Amino acid sequence: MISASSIFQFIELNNKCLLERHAFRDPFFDEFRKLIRSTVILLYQADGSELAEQFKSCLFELLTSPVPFKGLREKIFSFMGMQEIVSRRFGDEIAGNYKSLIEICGELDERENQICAALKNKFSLLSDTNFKIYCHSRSVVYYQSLYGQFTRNHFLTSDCDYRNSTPFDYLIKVGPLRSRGWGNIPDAIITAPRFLILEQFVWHGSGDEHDFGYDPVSENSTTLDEKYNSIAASKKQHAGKWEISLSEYLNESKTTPIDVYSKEADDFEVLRPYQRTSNNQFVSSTIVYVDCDSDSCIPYSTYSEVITFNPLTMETDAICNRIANNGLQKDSFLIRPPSQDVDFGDIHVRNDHYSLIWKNFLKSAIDRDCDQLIVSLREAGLKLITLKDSLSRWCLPAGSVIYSPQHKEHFKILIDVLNRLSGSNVFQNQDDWCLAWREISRSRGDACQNGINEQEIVMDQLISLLQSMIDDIRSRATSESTFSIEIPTGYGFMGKVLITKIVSVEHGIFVPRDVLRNFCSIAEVDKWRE
Amino acid sequence: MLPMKVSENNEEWIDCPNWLSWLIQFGYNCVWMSGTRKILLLSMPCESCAAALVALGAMIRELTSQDSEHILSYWDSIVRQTNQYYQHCNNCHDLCNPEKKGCGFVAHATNKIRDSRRNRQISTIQPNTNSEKIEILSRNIKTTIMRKTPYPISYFQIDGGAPYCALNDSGKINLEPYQVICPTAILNHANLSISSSAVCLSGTVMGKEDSMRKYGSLRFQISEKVYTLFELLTIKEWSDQCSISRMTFYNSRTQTIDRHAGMSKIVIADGIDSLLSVLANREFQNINVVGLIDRTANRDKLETIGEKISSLRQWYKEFEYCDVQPCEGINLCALQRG
Repeated sequence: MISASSIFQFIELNNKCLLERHAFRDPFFDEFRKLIRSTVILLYQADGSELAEQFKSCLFELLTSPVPFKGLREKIFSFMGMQEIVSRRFGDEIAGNYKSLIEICGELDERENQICAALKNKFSLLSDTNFKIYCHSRSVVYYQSLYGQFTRNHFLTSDCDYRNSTPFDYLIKVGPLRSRGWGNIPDAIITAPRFLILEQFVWHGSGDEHDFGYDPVSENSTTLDEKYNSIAASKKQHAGKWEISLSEYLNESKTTPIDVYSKEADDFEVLRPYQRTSNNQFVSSTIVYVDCDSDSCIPYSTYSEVITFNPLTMETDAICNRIANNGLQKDSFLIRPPSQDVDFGDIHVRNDHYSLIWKNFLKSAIDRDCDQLIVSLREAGLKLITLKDSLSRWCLPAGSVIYSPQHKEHFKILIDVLNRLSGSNVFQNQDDWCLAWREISRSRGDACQNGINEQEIVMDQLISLLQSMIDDIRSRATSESTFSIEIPTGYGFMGKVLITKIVSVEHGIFVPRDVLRNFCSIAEVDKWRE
Repeated sequence: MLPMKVSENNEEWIDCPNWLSWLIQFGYNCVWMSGTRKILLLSMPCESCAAALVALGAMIRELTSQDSEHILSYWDSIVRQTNQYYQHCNNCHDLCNPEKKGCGFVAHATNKIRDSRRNRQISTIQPNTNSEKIEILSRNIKTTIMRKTPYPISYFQIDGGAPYCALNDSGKINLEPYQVICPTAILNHANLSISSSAVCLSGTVMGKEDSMRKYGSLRFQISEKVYTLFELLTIKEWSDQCSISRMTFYNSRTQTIDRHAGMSKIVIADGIDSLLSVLANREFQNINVVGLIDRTANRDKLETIGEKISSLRQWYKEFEYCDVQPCEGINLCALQRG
């Protein structure tokens, strides 16, 4: 833990901080942004939300990281492919947009990203000072391509990194100041700065969050409001602590700042209402990036318990359950229990294993032709008055119960109809529908409480077992960042426990409930970031 | 500047910094706030032992008290409970649901009391009970217990509440470090051999071990002797010095308090989660609270406490807390029940 005295000493010696905001304009990039925005909006309207999310992620990454323009054309092309295909699938309007987008990308391919150029220059100027960059861990590679003398200490990639940093001179940030989503940065850089100068590099029109710099205790929070974009505010002193300086650059030339913040040009604001709709309930999560797979991460519900190993503590609770929001730290180790259930003498499946399968089939059947599904179900004997509403409800992911038909016969009818309409069997074995029904019954409380107790017993047993193997785990952790431990026989559960080093932790990302505790791709998480 | 050195995280010894002495002074001043319930919130620019330092200051102030001991804080807790009952709960005819009612309390209060000497027979505390006397009516017999001879109250227990639990005090805590830390304090030597539960420290949400580890990272060097902060707090079983305990400890992770010797005058909460746990706990609903939060916490957590503060403003109004000059880097918000 960094000493509080060093922080207070810094505060006492430096009662002013400077925010230097460098805003860049490039007419071609402006056009690119405008086209992306309209493409995203049109795609949402045309039920192409998956593709829209990809375009959004691409744009937001460009706005919050120094991504070179070179290669942009290929990237955009990889989203949708040939224009003829786009036209057939989405119509002429989107196809026209797409065509213009590809053309503008061609222009951008030949241009240098002004922010990249400015940063290269800035890093050379700051080479003898103590500066740091705040960015997402996956953006580090872009910065490294601009300047070859970075060390790990130059990068702050989480609020924990910031919290543990000693005072320094400059903080570099690309993109607007936001507390969540793409390009997020802790409010503490405004409310508890540990540096003298914040150098912010943004594209023209990207406004900071209106309440960034949040301190729940202080009524007069040091928030930077929108007005600082204007010339009048450029010299505005804020709450006695911050001085703000604004510079604008057009086509690499410095100009007189002329813009007033406009929501119409702020991509984050414009695209905020456009989210991928889903039946999945989104929950706040803590994302854990692990060493064993650089393309995947694991989301945990914010207040869930996660078994971790902290190599820095020599006490018995080096291995224990920790709350995701509080206890997960970089360089500690995540412990993944074996995936199969303990044998309590019942079905050897996860609580929602079968329900995931038949719900997917149900969703596909509804997407294909809901009316036909309803007719088929009624003809087969499922004569519910509110059948259409029921079908929507049965698609919901399992929570404490599995949403499904109330009666076993109805469930059988549903599976039979899905088998017929999809042309393939929902379950590999024909009798597995009985197991699926038992899964539903269990979720309804027939053995609900027992299930909860059983899970707690399993976790406690696992932790005790691992604690008894602490010496072996500790010695392996000094040389390996990912390893597995075989569970000895006689403990009621089998398999291997995966122990992998935590690379970084990110809080506050909303993810669908059904991906919690499972590996999912980072690209997928990026789509949910907003 | 205090005549002692401090060291954080095993770093070099330095003169006592301003922020540290400010926090101790803040705790010293705020423990005896009178009037309706107050909630003082402090936000810090970094993680620190701020809560423990405020608790230390409060504890030192209590050492100056002429009548501080845990039987009296138990007395005060019964009086507070009775006041809440007669002033609020007795006039409320709804099924108790404080959140729905919006009365600002966390749980109902009762005027029923059980006598452990008479098979836990239920008696009633009378409405003319005040801080100097407690009147109990039992089977038409009225008993009055005066504050100056409070010990009979230890046989009584609020219906549904925890019984009084005396400590086997032995030994004496060392006067010197506290006198050096607060040189202007006139310490009552009698208090050095009597336990007290006037001050309660609510530790970090990671639990007791984590709190001890954190407070152990700050050390004081006074007259060539070295004291860790957690030793100075005299929380029961945290130190082997002696059995005297001048502070109770609330484990915000397990939501248990280390000893039930009556509720405290003040609770100091370390961190956002700890503060939320304290504000939701019925045992503390009539007690002044000081909460210390870290501004470098993530946005979700800051918003959680921000929402709680907003909801408190329905019944609490902000007032200007003037007992201390502001300290650079520390923000303060003071709320008082209206």
